[in-house]
Amino acid sequence: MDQQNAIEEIALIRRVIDESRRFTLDNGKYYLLWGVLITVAIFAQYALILTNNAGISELWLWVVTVGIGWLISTVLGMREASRHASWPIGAKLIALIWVSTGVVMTIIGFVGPVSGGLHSWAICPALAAVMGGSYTISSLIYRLRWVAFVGIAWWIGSLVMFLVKGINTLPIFGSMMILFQIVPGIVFYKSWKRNSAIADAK
Amino acid sequence: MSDFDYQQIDDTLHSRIRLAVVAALVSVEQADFNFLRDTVKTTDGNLSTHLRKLEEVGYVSSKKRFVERKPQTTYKITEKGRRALEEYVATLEKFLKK
Repeated sequence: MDQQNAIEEIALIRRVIDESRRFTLDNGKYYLLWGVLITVAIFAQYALILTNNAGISELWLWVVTVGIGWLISTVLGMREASRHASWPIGAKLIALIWVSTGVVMTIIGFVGPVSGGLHSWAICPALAAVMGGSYTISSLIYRLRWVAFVGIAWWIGSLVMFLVKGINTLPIFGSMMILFQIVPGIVFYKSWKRNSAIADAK
Repeated sequence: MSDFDYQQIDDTLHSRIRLAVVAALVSVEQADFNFLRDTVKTTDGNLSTHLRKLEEVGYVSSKKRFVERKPQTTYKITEKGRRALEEYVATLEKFLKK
């Protein structure tokens, strides 16, 4: 083996990993960001209700949480877009699925209850059903079966919350966020770090 | 470069096709034959030979099943294969630093 061979082999590994990584491009950062934000907000909302401090502060809590989420997501997205000249179709689809999910969740979370079209207790189970769909579709793009199981878990949780009703849907949704949003985020992040270490070898 | 130990080079991975297959599998949970053929850009026969070799050394595992009555084989990288790729990259890096 000469130096040229070694350079070519490393280049080959990087190219192939980059190409096949179109299915695992997610670095987990958005899952973690939204998982942590919503978990904190949901348990804060639960505490506000239990201490009879809900009302207007409850609405502001979500305006601030969702606002921060979208702001950081936009900054992260713009930064990543400037780093990569082109995006594989898989990454574009994943981005599209989750941006759409965010928009749908924002509409359900704010417009639904404010318009009176949706009971406030029904927000969590409705959002869980949306999450289930997004995880299930994403699993096909990632080619990761466990992601589909996360989607199914969200759907089961949605059914449970529709049956439980009332404010107890909040801690259930919060716990689901930890298990089925933050934990997958950690798994994606670790996998991305490990693959990046190999792909970025110089 | 004279003190570089050539024994450290993994013979199995010191082949473009096999190296590309392992690199492709490291990013996905599992992949079917067509995905690997398109990623590695080789012929069916050539890929089959290299996949067999990778299975023999335990770097890759395969599973056969029927999808709509057609046989489909999916491949996965094993922990041994993942470690081998990491070590191979480390060896190449060491070689380049010499």
